[in-house]
Amino acid sequence: MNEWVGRGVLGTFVSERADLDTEFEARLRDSSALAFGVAYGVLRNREDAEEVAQDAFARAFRRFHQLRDREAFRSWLTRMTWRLAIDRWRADRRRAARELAAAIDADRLDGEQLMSDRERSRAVWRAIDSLPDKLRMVLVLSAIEGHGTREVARLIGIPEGTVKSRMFQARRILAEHLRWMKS
Amino acid sequence: MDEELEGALDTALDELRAARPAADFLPRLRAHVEAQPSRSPVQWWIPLTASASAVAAGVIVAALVRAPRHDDAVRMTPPEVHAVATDAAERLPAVAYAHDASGELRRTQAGRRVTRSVNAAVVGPDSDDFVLVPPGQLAAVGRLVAAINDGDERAAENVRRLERSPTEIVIEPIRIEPVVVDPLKESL
Repeated sequence: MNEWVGRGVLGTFVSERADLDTEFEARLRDSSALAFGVAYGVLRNREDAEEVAQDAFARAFRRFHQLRDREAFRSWLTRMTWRLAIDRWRADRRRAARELAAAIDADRLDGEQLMSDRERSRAVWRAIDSLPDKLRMVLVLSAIEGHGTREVARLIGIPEGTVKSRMFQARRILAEHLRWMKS
Repeated sequence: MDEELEGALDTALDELRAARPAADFLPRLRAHVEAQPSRSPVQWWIPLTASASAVAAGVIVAALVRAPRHDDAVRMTPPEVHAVATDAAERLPAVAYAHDASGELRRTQAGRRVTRSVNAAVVGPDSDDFVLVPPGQLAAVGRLVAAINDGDERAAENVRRLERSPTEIVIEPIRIEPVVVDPLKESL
């Protein structure tokens, strides 16, 4: 009798675990590009973004059983990936500052030359990086996977109106930061 | 926002849209996740159960360690004299007399708690001998009794002195002498 109960409990446990694994595998296929995109939006380095996405998925895997609303997985993963990416970005900021100083020196050497698209893009990203975190997140999420306002709102867990307001605010700040480009 | 700036921003964000992970990213990601320790629910049950067991064991041990002390205190109480807490006041006779802190004898009523200023109440010989002690002084009285049992002459002398003091007051009945009234003399 006890052996039968033991087998029953073990069987249920194994079955539940197998279901979880199958479910997580499906989530992994669906959301790997999202995690990579979020991390890349912060770090803008493919290898670094892949590492952060892997870490985020590993963390999600360990805590997957705690997630009650499985439909909120993408939102949960996005926030987790964002936090990990920001942590890494802040840790690397000193190194990035050195690289930036070198880039500015190079720009000065070509002072008379018109800015190439690449240089303009780099300047824009510097301005995006200086945005407050919540504005930066909205801007980056709206750029990846063709997310609309509704999808961004769902991923962050805020109302659509707030997303629109943050987008407007982000663009206004960027325009102020990049005013020198017009001249 | 100026069109030029708008264009620059779109160009920068296009870079983000165009970014793709390496072709082997998904297999590597899968392998990385599979290398993680199992997330089975048993994992969080184990430390939880262990902690609960440790707490329960601690409580049991604490209870066992504390219990003999109470037994010792009871055993220290000699059979001749009982040291009891004031809760036993209802076992006193209807009227009892007690010595207060200054040594003055005071009358107390049974069933009522003896006030804090009272150190001990000695009950008359027609009932069991009790030493009525506030709970905080039970240990001290226990030590006194133990000292007497161990043959400590000083302690015994103290108790004897206490016994010599009046423990009962007998009120003599009031005698009323008959009043003799002389017969009235006849009026003139």
